Amino acid sequence: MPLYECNEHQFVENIRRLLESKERFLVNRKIVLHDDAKYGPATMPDQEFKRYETICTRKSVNSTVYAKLPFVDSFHGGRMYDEEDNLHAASALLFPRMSVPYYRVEYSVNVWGGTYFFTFDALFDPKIVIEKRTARKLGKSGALVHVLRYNAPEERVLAINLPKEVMVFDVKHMVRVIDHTSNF
Amino acid sequence: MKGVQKLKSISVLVPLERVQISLSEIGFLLDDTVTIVSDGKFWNKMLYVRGAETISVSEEIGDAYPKDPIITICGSKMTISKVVKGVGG
Repeated sequence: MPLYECNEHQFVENIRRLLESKERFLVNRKIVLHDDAKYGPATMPDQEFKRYETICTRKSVNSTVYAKLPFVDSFHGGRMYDEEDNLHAASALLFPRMSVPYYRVEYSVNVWGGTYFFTFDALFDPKIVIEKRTARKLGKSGALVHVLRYNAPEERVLAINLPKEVMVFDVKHMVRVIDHTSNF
Repeated sequence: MKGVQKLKSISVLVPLERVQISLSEIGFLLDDTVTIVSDGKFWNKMLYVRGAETISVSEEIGDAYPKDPIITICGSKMTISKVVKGVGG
């Protein structure tokens, strides 16, 4: 069963061709939340990093990122960072201490024994607020502190726009079967 | 929306600003944005809506050259022609 990877443009155009051919087909969609430290602030392009500049700083892309001020990462169980903490080291770009959760989105369509798929990761949207929090470091009465929150992207912006006649099935897992029968 | 929805994706070598102006001229409004990572590159994906019609525009973030936003249209045949004409496709 061959697998063919497409980009967005190719995948949508392939669907359009299938629609025009009146071929019957089904589109599968898998959306899974990941929080595996794949994305950290050091490797983001400047435009994306700007959204975190209230709380952290770096010289350029792939440079070490440091905390500008103490803050709490509410998505990761209220993890507290101090000023000048190393959040993502240039020497360990694959292992950021501060990481961004994301949805892994996978669209696929099966046609004539082949699977054509398009995948992308949608990063959660950061929101930085100031809140009163209590913690060992903040004292019993609590203190105002910057809090980093992450909002999940809306489903409508994750979806590929498809005409209503295209049936999209949501799936949890796709098992890829290797067909050995052609070897005999 | 009256009529059948059609699908079309185009990749054009025009600046994002021109695409946005073209979409606003025919009544599409920006509804939502998200940062996505695909093919190891960061993209800004914008969703434009007009009634039941939707258009998504994905543009690579950063200093990539040339910039060729991917425009995916799910709408009437008329809308597809207007967008394609508007961005010089």
